[in-house]
Amino acid sequence: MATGAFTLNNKMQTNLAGGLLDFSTGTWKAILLTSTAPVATAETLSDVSGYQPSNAGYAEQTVTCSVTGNGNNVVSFGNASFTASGGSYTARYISYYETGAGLLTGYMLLDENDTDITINNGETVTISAPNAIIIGTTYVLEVNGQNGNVEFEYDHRNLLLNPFFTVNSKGQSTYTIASGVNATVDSWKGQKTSGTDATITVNSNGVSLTNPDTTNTLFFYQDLSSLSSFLNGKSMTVSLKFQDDTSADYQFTFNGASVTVHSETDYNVRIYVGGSFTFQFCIDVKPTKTLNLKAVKLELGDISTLAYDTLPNENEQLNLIYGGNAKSNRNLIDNPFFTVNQRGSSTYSLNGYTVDRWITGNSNLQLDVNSNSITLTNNGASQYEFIQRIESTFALYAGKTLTLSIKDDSDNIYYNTATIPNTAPASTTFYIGIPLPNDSGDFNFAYTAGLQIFYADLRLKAGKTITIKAVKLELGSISTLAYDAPPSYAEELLKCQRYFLSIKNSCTYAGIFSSQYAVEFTIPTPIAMRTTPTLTGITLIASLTSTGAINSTSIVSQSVMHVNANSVECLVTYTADTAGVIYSNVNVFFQTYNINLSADL
Amino acid sequence: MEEETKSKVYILLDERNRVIAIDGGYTIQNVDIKTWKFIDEGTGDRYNLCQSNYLPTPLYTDDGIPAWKFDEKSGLTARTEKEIEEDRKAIPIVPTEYDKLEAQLDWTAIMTDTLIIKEAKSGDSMFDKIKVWYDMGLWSVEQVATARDKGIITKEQYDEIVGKKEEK
Repeated sequence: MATGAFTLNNKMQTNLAGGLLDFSTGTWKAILLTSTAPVATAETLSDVSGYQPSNAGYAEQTVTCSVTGNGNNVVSFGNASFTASGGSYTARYISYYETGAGLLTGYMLLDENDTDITINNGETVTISAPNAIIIGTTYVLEVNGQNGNVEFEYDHRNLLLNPFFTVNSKGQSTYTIASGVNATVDSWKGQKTSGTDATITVNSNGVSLTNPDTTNTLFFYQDLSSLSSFLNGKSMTVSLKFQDDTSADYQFTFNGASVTVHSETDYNVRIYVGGSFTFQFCIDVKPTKTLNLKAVKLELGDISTLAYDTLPNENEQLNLIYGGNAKSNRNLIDNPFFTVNQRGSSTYSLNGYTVDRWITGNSNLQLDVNSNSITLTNNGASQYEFIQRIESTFALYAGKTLTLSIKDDSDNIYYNTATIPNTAPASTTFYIGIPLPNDSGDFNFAYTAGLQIFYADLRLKAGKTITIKAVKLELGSISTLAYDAPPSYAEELLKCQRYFLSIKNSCTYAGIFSSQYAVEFTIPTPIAMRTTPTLTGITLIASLTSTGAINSTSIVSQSVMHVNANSVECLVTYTADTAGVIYSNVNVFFQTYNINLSADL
Repeated sequence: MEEETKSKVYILLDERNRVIAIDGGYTIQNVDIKTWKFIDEGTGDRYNLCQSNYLPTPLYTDDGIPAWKFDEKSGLTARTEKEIEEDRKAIPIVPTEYDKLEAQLDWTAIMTDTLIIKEAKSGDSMFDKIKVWYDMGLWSVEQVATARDKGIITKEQYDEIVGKKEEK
């Protein structure tokens, strides 16, 4: 560049001549545009008053600038055309919009040779950049000084998503790559044409690509076809960092066709163009070889900057991968928004079940049901627990990475992640812990060796209160609770009714005499109950005489004998009926209120 | 700790120490601890849902006879087949409205020689049915003798039903 002085910090080694923007010639001026308003998609900014002029020719202008964002942190690069008073102009621009922080900062770099550009106060400048690439990443650009003295802090962006393989939504530690295309860690796929299955193992240090087949290659790839037109003609650098901390980098130019970037004894690095792919970044693991990768980077220019990259934020990666509509993993906790409350109380102070599936461990732990949350208040002198036992075995989650989240009444989400070991513990073990705000306690995911099940456990300290809207347990290393709408009440109710069914209004069930002292009858259930439930609420049986009179008597015992897919078969015994008053009648029935079937865990 | 919460199990006995109810755990509200007997406590379904999960077999037979008993020495034990059968025999036979109707229909059909079939579809022979009607007091000795005389049952079956009684 000529007068624009790029100051490289310790993260910056670049040769922009090989990159997207060429500042090697010309004289550049910078105009800083700022806005105090949050940026939404295709926002139009107006009354931009906080710009920093690069020279007197651009001082104190009010500029209206139309920009296009994708609703996230975006960076746009490109050649831009300007329409302003006096005609249309071509310039280059870099703009940075950060919606997360609620502000927009944009920089236009104008070629000083376009001396005819004049932007009058109140005029509109429209930036049109059809070839701009929009990449969601944090890009820091600072303008410092006057008269086109521009200073950059430029972290070369990685064109690959999930470059450190840390986003693993599926939560598997090993992915088997059979013939065909197989999903692995997010954004990466494994493929084989035939032969012995390959494996992709996820560990704390990256991924291990193991190809035991003696003939066929394992392909590990990411589809970047949406960038192909932009990347066409560009020089790029591929960097590989291995788990032994050695690294390699290779330079190539993409000309719209497949290219073998580099070939080694164990692997190839290729750009594949064919079929539906117009730019597929692919690493070939050759037969019988294993490649232990820590990170991969694809960037513009001919300088590798992978050594300066830090681990990306997993939630930011998730946003990038799923375009601001991050998929929401299935919640492994039932009634996570506490909306199902079949017992019907608005306040619980007991040692037992409260809202469906949730237990308070002491009568001093009060639970109040709010419109869209619950409030727990510990009125006692000790710490008490609020738990959900999860129908599970240790094997169900052994080796799996899980994330536990909790959302408070201010919509703050607290979460933590852990990988469950492969061997069951000999005693109760807490695997994931989340400190709760105001030092009120913690929220945990644990395994009880006694009951041999996992459970979610909120421990509230004495005298503390907390209001919570939702909780979540999910596979993978990321929290997606923020993306969850309250679940369907019907679906949650059905799940909860596997454990507890309340029939509150009047119901009449016909029965049959199994003997003179016992009657069997069937209660329909919306779902198969978890185990043989307990039955409460039957207080009276009655029978009809042939003339329509009703004889009734009180019961001795009630229980469920059998569980079927959509019913339970019940047996009720009743007070001795030696005269056969009940038994001799034409039918028998129960008219009841408030029957409860409990198969609670 | 979560697993330290234990559920208590209670039973209700009759005058013969037969267990006529078992409850506790999550349905402890069913238990009157003044009349019920505490027997055990623990964790898990067996204790939390003891009403239907504590005993390895149902509390009652399918025809409603207590299948378990309790004494201080042996604790909870299953009642023997012999004990259950004795209970079953001790239950008075009470005819239902259907029994009365069918006994009447059978008698009328025999008297008018309009009995359609002599073997009931269920496999019960007319002998079995007439024996039940007689044991329930719905048929008299004379009615059984009429069935014998009309060839519905044999002389030997008649003797088996009424014993040594003779019709008047």
